[in-house]
Amino acid sequence: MIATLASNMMTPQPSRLSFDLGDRHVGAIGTIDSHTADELLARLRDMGTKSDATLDLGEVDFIDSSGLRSIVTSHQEFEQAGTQLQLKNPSQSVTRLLEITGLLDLLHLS
Amino acid sequence: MAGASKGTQRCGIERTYAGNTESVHHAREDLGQWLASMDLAPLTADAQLVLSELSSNAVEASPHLEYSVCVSVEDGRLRIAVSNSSTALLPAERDWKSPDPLASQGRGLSIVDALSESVEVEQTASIVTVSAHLRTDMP
Repeated sequence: MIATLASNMMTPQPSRLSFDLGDRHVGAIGTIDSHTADELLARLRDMGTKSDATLDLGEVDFIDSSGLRSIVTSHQEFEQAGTQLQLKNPSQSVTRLLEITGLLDLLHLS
Repeated sequence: MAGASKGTQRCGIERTYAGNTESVHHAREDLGQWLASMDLAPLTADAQLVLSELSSNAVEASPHLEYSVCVSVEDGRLRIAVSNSSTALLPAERDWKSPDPLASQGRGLSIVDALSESVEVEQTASIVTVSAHLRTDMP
């Protein structure tokens, strides 16, 4: 089966990532990849690191190392401030990536 | 086109994408549809993650330059190859074989390696092709 298609024949559509934002809470919904990872980091930084916060990953249908980089960066910023970023409800995709990368026991999962 | 995959492999899917992060989503979607058409849907999660890492690396190495994707089934293995124009030196294998889990960068190839039976890197003067081979149940 052969399929060829030039990229300029396609209608560009951005990756999808939306947020459920609350007080000291970010819920990520959709895809966290190289196109959306910076958005996630920006939402996490918006909360500041003055006290613990939570990132709900229950509705993340895809994540790759770019998304993981945002989470690890934020995790380290909270650690440096003496507070914690708690990861809640990791989806199957998130859990699998955390297992592969050896981060399952290094981040704060609840 | 950023480059052609080396060798005589006949690509089941062969596409060229714009060198931006938005295209990585399209590459994953195209792969998912092709795998479903080949009765390889159980491989979708791992294969899309591998392709996402390889495509993101290509875009990061060569922003704004197209990259090409060739996917095929060979000897019971799914081959995912991504080629891009780059003269940058690739990270040493020892660096992505045993990465620091909390490092800020450098996880992409180690994830590909963890999900694949083998990973091959071919680098010419101007083209880099990284190929990952995933086991399938196909003969």
